[in-house]
Amino acid sequence: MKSIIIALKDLSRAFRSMFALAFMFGVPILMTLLFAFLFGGVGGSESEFTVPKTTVRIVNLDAGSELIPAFDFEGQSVDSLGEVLTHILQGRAFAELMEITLANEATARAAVDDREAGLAIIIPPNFTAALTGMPEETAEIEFYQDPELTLGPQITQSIVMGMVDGFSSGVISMDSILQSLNQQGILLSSTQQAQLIQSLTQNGQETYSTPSGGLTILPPSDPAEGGSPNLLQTIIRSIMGGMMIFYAFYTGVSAAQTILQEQENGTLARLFISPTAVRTILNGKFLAGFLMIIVQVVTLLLFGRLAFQINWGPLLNLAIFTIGLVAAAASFGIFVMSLVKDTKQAGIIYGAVLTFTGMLGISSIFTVGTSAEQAFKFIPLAVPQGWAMQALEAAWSNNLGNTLLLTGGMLVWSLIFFLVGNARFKKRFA
Amino acid sequence: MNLSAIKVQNLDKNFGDLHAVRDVSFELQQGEIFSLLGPNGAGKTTTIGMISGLLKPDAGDVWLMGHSIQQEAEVAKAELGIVPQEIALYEDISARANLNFWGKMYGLRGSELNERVAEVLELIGLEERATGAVSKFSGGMKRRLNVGVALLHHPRIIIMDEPTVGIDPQSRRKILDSVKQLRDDGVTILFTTHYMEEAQELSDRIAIMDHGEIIALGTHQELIDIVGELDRITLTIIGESAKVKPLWQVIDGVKEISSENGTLHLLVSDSNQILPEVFAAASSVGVRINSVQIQEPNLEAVFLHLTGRALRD
Repeated sequence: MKSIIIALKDLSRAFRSMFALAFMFGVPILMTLLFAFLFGGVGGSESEFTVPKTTVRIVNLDAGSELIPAFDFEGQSVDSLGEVLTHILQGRAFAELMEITLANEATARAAVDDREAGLAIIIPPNFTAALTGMPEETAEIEFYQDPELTLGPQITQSIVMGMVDGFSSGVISMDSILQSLNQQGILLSSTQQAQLIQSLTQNGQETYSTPSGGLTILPPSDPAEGGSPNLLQTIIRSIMGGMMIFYAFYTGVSAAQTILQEQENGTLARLFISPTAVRTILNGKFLAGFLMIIVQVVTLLLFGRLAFQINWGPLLNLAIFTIGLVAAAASFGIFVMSLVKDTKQAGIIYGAVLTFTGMLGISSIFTVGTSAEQAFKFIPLAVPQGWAMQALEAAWSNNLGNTLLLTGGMLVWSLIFFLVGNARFKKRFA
Repeated sequence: MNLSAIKVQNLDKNFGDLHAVRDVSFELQQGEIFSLLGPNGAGKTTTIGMISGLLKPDAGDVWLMGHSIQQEAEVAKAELGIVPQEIALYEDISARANLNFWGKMYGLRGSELNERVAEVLELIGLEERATGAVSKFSGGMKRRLNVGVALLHHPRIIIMDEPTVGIDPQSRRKILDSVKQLRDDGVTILFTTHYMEEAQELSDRIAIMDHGEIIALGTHQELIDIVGELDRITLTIIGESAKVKPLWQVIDGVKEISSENGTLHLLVSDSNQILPEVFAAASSVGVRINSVQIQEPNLEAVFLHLTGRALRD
């Protein structure tokens, strides 16, 4: 009971402190807003982030291949993969990302030069021939772009390159099938070959027309209606999740720092003189941190949901993650503060230890798509913030097993921190 | 046989090479006001730290209302209210919130807590400032609240460690009056101070501490008797002391004359009556008196007598 009284007193004092409130709620929200502005603007559904629509001119010079007979693609007869590529890019799936116009090469280049288009995609004449495995043929799609535009043209290039990779693998598959059939003495008629190509290209078309396809960039959809998050929400979710974890540990340390503050202003001695065990006082301090972080995390999760429509994942996963995070951050505070003598030394903790462990822990969100991505799946696990980040990612990815596993890891960290911190404080105050 | 409110037995405490408290023992009867008097660094606060359970003694033990502070800490502490030397309050919350919190830490709840908080606020004269943040209080008001926290749970023993240091006369008076009121209510009070006037005014018994030891213990009168009832006149003169000393020795009421570094000390029965004759005798032999200091028998004189140093040195 006395632990709760101590915790509620600390909670009441923390919520009177503008400094504490700023770091619990203000800074994480501001950081997230900053990133939201950087990636495209915030504020209501009107100004939701959207990848800027790129005006694209497609120059399809592809002459097809004599090896590939004409085949039906979405109700139209096509005779080259360049045509297939153009059809897919003109499809509904990419309508939000790009505005496609067919053009000849000169007109397309002029449009880009005159800044009427952001990108011209020039499909070479031997595109189909190269993709269908003619050994002497190499082809290169040219991307002629406005140098001042980066995000939109790059997204379009990624999509096109993804499709080309898909075509390549499809053609390799087809080649293997034909060889295998030939070895068995089965020869396909040109109609049958056309049907096989149609099937493979249709499969490719389906792959690139769905949000869960092999592309990194996802077309927009409304997560509130059960869809996958759009690009901004994906970015903001990572940033806000990272900030929430970073500042939850900050709050844990800040809450535990009241032990040193009370030691310096004499109230801790007064608590020790009261009929209250040292263990109860320390439990109260832990509980104070625990409650503060719960309030902080729940507030930030709700803010993310309401302000950015972030889909944090199933409630059960989120609750499991929150318990782990709160326990780890509160006990981390007790542990860290047990290592320092006074509030002056504690200042160094804020400046160095929290920043280092915090940034290391959430570093995975800054290394996505870089060469360091693989390494930063494991390095952050050296600190509890890393476990928290990965547990959150597991939670929003609807991976209950990993959420439980990583939260279990956080609870182990928590237990170690709590036991060591408590033992050190008890020894100090004996 | 009456149970001692506080029994201190052979307390000893070292901080590294510093022997802060040496074999200190004393007992307080219930309802007694007992002062620990001594200069800064005498060991008073360390002794109190051990009595309250804040510091663990290297040797010895303390019993509060018969409960060992080491063996039955929580029961013993519940008997105790402490007024620490430094202000120990949460300054960012109100006086009422402070009292509510500390009351709960001593087990008060509900209406009992509300009543006690109201009573204490009245006792310390802070009813009108009850909801204001403590950080806005004057030093005296904080001291009074510091005292108030210790009174909340009706403790049978109150320890006050230099409760009047650095405050205005009005707040000092209020605190001293509250001590007397508590004594009248039967509360046992252990009071540390380096103001001998406070010890003299309040205490039933006084222990004088120096260098971690109790060097004298008794009632005010018993301590005064150590130096006798004589006044001490301290004089500095211009001229030869050898000429004037024989004349002073024959004045009726002068009991003893000593000299030290050009300063003369006269122990006399009544300084007011003798002083004119002292001046007249000096004048008759051409000795000029440069300064005069009269000290009636008090605790300062006792301390000086016992240690050779002034209490405030």
